[in-house]
Amino acid sequence: MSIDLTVVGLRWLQFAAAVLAFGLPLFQAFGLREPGPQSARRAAIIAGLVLSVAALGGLLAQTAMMAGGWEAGLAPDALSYVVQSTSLGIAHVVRAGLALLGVAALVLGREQRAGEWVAILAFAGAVASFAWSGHGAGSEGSLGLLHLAADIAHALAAAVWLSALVAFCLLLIRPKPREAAGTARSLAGFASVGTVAVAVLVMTGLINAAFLIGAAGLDRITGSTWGLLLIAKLVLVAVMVGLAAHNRFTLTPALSRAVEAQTDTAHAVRRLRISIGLEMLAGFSLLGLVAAMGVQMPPASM
Amino acid sequence: MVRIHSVIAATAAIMLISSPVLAHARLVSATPGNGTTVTAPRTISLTFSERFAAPFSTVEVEDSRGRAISLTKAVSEDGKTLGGSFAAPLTTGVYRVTWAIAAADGHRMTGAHSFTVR
Repeated sequence: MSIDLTVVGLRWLQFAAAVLAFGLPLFQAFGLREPGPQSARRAAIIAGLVLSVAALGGLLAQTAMMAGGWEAGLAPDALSYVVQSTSLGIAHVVRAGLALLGVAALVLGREQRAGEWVAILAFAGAVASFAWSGHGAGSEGSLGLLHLAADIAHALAAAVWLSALVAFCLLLIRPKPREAAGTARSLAGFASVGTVAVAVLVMTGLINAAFLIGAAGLDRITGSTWGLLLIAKLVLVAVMVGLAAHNRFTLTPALSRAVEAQTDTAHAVRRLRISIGLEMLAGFSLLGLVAAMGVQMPPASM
Repeated sequence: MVRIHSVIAATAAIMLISSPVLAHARLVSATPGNGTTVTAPRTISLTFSERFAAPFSTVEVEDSRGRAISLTKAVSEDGKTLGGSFAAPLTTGVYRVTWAIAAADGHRMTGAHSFTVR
């Protein structure tokens, strides 16, 4: 199997699992007034386990990529070098460990606020660790820290946004009429969090672009695979923001009105489910593009 | 609005000054260089812009018939130069150098060039 493709696939799996593991408990803690569905907790536990396995798999694939072949990459010497001497290797091991810690906290600290918090913090650390296994840790000098901080904030904001979409899908997929009011309140409540997440993504995205493209790299964007992936990513971001605006300004008020008027909410719920489902699909596809961008050369390095 | 303008201005400023700091190794110089003609070289060296992962770096030299020339690989102390020394000076002919390195960020890079010995 192609090493590059395996690296990209495992990067995507890690992104997707980290988004769910970090975001679903966060949403349960802050996004809902009533206890959320058990399915969200179970999904977070499974995602945490998948994340730890995918991180270790990612370490093997990344080492094979560096060594130029599976056999050379799976040699104990090669693995121990990557784990001990590269930030990329350390990041994968730390991520796997934090994911397991998060899972343990969710399982052992069931129904306890402290357990939930430990899990959220551990998974947040796992999300932040992506900055060390992508291009975020590639910049040097005093500005390197800014790039790293921007990359971490970018990953956390993306996880908050995407995981909320998953949580809303879980709420809307089998809606109970008596829960429609709570869902409408959560959706309305998420509007400000969502806006902040988008603002953080735009700002940190611009900072990352500054580092990875640079003034000199602007004319190389369309001529590089990395640049084309970035353009595709921006198209998906525009689609997601458009759908988010539609949800916020049209579909959520429609659900709230139906709840207030005590009329049938099924139609409003169905429209929201389709729109949020599409937004979520665009989000997870976008993670695939980001996974592929990680193995391509950004214009600033050409 | 003022805040948005300051963010854009700050980003533009970073963009202008940040481009040279991204740590991706690329080949800066090679001795003997591509297309050059030299006399009986005993060593070759390839210098990269950044440190690379020494265990994953390889350099091979072959003559015009495709026969590998035995060489001893060495990596400089600063981790940026990949070198090779031959048991004996190279004799007249065209030689091809192929190299591979892995940057610390996981990217593997390969390259090849030729030189002539007269």
